[in-house]
Amino acid sequence: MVDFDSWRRELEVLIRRVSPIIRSWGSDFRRLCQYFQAYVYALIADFLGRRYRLNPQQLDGDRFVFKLSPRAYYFSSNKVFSFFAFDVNGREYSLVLNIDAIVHGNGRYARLNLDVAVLEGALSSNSVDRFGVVFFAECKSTDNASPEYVATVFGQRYIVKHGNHPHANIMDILAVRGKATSYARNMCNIVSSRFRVNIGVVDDLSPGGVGIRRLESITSSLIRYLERH
Amino acid sequence: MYDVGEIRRLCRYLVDVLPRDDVSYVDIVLGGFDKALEADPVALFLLLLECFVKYVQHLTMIYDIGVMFKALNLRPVLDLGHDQSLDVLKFVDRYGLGEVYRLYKDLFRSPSGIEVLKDLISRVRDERLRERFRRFFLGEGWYG
Repeated sequence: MVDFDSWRRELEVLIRRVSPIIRSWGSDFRRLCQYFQAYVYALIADFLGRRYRLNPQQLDGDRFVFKLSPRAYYFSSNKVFSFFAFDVNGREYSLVLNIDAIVHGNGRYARLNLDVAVLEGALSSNSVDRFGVVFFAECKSTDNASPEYVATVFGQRYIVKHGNHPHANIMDILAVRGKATSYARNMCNIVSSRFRVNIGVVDDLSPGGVGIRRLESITSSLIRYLERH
Repeated sequence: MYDVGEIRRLCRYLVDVLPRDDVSYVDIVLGGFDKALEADPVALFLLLLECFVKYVQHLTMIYDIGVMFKALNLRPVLDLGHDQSLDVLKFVDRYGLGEVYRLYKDLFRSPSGIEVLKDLISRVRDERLRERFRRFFLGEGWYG
């Protein structure tokens, strides 16, 4: 027997609890969530960057400073991607977001869909020019009807093709970079096996989507791992 | 069995809570708030609920991350730019995200919560909306 009344009462408690947060953060809420998600990926990257060993002291003791550098660029007119560079305690990472699905239509908060990959070290270190400005890539749809994109990675242009996926994703871009392909695949494999979760290519991080569930799975696996050690 | 009056009251409650952009979106999808409130209040309720739950899902994720950092014995500070910063654990405590997390799991992930949602979704008249809600609330039909 479905007990709607008790469910409804609990829902009202939840609404009362969450409404002040929505009201107080307003439009900043989306940005805030992006940052938090970036944290998770930064941490994963940090695991990998430290040869799969985590030492909290190496993360600067009790203060883990995440800084989104002022190097966030939205490339292309149709906003297929945005590339972010950020530091975690001085270690640099790149974060690739599919900004296209984050805000669309009338600009309302729609889906926080982050086609995210963290590219650590190897790809980001040589992308900083002498002014500290990063030009990671330019990626735009050549034709909306065709799943083909032009990507400029470190000054080289690539045609990126992909199958049924509506947006280019980072694995596609890496696929044209030879060594980087295996790097990314290894990265995913290591995280997958270490935490017994399947991350692979995160293809959909919209709320309720499979990516969010994967992310939840990643975070809970990390928590379980940390509790055991 | 639910009371239609309660569903309508919840719709008005959610409209009051949600940002204007979300309410406008719901208005557009259903072709007018008042019309939907009369014609198919369950569909209106679920669509408003979907918008609301998206915020809740992000808060639960923030909570997860907070727990993770607590386990690491770290106090992460977000640099938001413009000399603004945010202490993650303070944020989690201040807004009681642990309770938000518990309520979300009970309401939307537990077997009894899913039963309620299934029942509500089955009462939506429009097939496409039913599919949409099944996908969003019950996670059916996702590829990948």
